[in-house]
Amino acid sequence: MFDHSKFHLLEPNFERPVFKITDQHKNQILSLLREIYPEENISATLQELERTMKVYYAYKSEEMITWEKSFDPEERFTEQDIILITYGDLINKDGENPLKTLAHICENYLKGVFSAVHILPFFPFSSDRGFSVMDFEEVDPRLGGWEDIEEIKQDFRLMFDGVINHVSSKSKWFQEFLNQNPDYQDVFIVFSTRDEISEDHLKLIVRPRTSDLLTPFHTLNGTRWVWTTFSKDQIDLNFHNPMVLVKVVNILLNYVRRGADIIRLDAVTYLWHEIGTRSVHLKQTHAAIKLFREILNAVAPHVGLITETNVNHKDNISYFGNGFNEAQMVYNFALPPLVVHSFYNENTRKLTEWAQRLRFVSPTATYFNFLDSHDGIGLMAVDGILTEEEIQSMILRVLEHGGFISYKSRGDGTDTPYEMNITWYSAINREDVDEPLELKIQRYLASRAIALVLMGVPGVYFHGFIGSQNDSEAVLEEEERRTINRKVINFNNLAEAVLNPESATYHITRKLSALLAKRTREKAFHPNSPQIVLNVSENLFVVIRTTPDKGEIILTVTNVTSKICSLEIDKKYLTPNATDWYDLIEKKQYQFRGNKIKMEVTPYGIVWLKAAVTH
Amino acid sequence: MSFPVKQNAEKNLHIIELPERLTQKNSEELRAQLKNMVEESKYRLVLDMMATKYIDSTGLSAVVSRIAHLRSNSGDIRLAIQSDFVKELFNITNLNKIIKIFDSVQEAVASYV
Repeated sequence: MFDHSKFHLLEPNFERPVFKITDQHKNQILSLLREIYPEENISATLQELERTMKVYYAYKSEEMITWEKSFDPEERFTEQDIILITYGDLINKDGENPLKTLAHICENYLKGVFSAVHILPFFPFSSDRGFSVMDFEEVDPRLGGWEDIEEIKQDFRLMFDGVINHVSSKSKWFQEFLNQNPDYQDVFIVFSTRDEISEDHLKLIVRPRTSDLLTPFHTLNGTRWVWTTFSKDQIDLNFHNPMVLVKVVNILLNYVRRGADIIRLDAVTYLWHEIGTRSVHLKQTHAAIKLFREILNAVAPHVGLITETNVNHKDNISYFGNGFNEAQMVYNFALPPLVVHSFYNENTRKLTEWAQRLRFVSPTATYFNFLDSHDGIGLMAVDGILTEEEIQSMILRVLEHGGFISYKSRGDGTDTPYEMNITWYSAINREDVDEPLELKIQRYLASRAIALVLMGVPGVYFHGFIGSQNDSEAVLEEEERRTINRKVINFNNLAEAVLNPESATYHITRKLSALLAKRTREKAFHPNSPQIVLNVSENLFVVIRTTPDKGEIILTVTNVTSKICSLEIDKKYLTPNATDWYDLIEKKQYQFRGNKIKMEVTPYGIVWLKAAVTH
Repeated sequence: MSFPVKQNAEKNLHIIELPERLTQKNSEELRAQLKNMVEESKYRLVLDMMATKYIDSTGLSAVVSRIAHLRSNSGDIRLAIQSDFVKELFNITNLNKIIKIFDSVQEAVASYV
C-alpha cells in the first residue's frame, strides 16, 4: 500500500500556509552564518535560505507533516537499522534499468534484513564512478529514473550522497564559469596564475591525492587555475561565497524531496579552504555541517546527516559536534582495519582496547559500523592506534590476499598508505589456501559479527553481502585500484551463485541474512543500548549490550582464531540473577551456576547469549 | 612443473627465472613454488623477470603471494625487470612502492646485504 507519509508532493502546494521558521531555529541559523561569514552582510543569505526552506516545505504532504510531528529523533536509528551500500548499477540484467533491477532485488530478497539502502551517486557524472556530478537534479538515464528510486523507497529508507565538496568539470556550473558568466565567477576557487599559492602553502594543504592541487583551464578570458582537491575533473566549490552555500542547501532539500532519509556528506573534511592552513577540519566546515543540520531540524527533522571523513579517529568523531548539533552518524573508519588486524594476528587486543574507549555519543547520534564500502579499507583512522609495523604487516598480508594499496602524499615528497583495496571476503580469506569452504564462511561471518555487536548502525556493502572475491583484472584494465571491489554483476550469474550450494555466495547470503535478521530483533542492539567491552581474552572479542531499562542483556563473543578458545567471565559484569541463557546463534540453552560463565568457543565461533533479567 | 632456480651461495639467496609471459596459465606454478620455498626456509629471493614481457593480474598477485611470510622471516622478494610494460603494471598497482625493482639480476642480487 502506498504510504503517503513517506513521499512528497510532485508539485508545491502554495495554497497552504507558508512555512514559518521558529525563532529558535532562526537564531541558531543566524549564529552559524555569522560564524561562517563574519565579514559579510548575511541578511540576504538568511532570506534566501528561508525562501528555499519555504519552497521545500510546500512539497510536503499532509500525511508527512502529521507523521513528522510524532517523529522521535532518539528513535531515528534503532536495532532494526542495517544499511545496504550499493551502486545503482552494480547488478546488470539484460533489457532492464539497473535501478529497476536493484528495486526488484531489494523488494524480493532484502526486506527484513536491511532497513535502508545507500544508493551511491546515481546522478549524471563524468568520472570517479559517480562522484563528479554533472547534474544534481536528475537520475543518470543509464541507471533509470526517479520512479525507480521511489520504488525502492516503498520498503526502505534511502541514503543519498551529498557530493558537495566539488562538481564535475562538465557540469553546467563549471561550463558557465568557463564561459565567464559573471554569475559563476565566485562559485569556484580561481587563480590567475599557478604561483598565487606559494610552495609552502601548497605543502601545508592536506589532501588524499597526489595529483596537482591547481588545474589550468582555458576560459573565454584566458587561462585560469582552479582548486581541485581530488582530480582535474572534480572542481571544488567556493563556500566563501554564501550563494554557493544556498545552492547546496537547495540541492540537499531537493534530495529530501526526492526521498532521502539520510544524507551522506561526501569528503566533507575538505569543504572549507583557507590558504595558509591545512584546509581540513576547519571551523567553518563544522559550522556548515551544523547549519545543514539546523535547517533539516527546522524543516525536515526526519532526515539525518552522516559524515564520511577518512581521517584519524579523533578528528573523525569530531564531526559529532557536541553530540546534538552536527552529524547524527559518523563512519567508524577505525573499525574495518582493526577487524582485519585482529583476524590476521588472531588477536583482539588492539580492537578491544580501541572499542573500550568508544564513548556513547548522545541519544540522537551514533556510529556507522561499516566494514566495507565502494572505497578501500581506510588506514588513516588507525594512525596512532596501530603501530607503523602493525600497519606495514597488515598491508603485506593484504597483498598476499590479492589486494592492493593506495597512498596519499605527506606533502614532503613522500607517500603514506591511505587505504587497502580489496574485497572484504578476500581480505578475510586467502583465495589460494586449501581450506574447507565451511571454515572460510565461518571466518567471514565472525568478522562481520564484530560490526553487528558494537554500538551503532551496521552497514554492509553489496559485494560484502554476497562474498565477492577480488576483481584484480579490472584494476589493470581501468588503472584504478578501487575497481577491485566494484565489479558489475550479471543478474543471471548472481542468481546462479545464490542457488549453488558449492558457492560461497550461497552460504554467505543465507547465513549473513539470518545473522542480520537476528540482530534486528534484539533491543539490546539499539544504538542507545549501552555497551561494555571486556578484555578477557586476546583470542576473543567480548561485548555486553544491555537495554537502557536493563530488561534485556546480550553477551556477545566472537572468536577471531582458528582454535577452540575458553571463555570465563565473572558474572559481576552481567546480571547476578541470570542462570539461564539462550544462544541466539546456535539456538541452545545454557545454565551457568555460581559466579562465572564458562564455555568453549569454536574456531571463528559467534555466540550471542541472551538472558531475560529478573528484577 | 616449476621455474628454474639458481642458488647464490655467497648472498644466501635464490633466483627464480620467470618466462616471457606470466598469466593465469602459469602463475599458479609460481605461487606453489614460492609457497614451497618458504616452507623450505628459503626467504631471500630474486625474481629474474628480464625475459618477462607480459604479466596479468594473476601473475602480479602470484609475485606478492608470500611477501608477508618472507619479510617476517627477515627475507624479501626483489625483482629484475626489463620490460617497460611490465614495470608500468607494477606502477599502476603501486606494488613498486612495496617491492624493490631493479634493471638487472646483478643489481637485484647486489641489493641484498
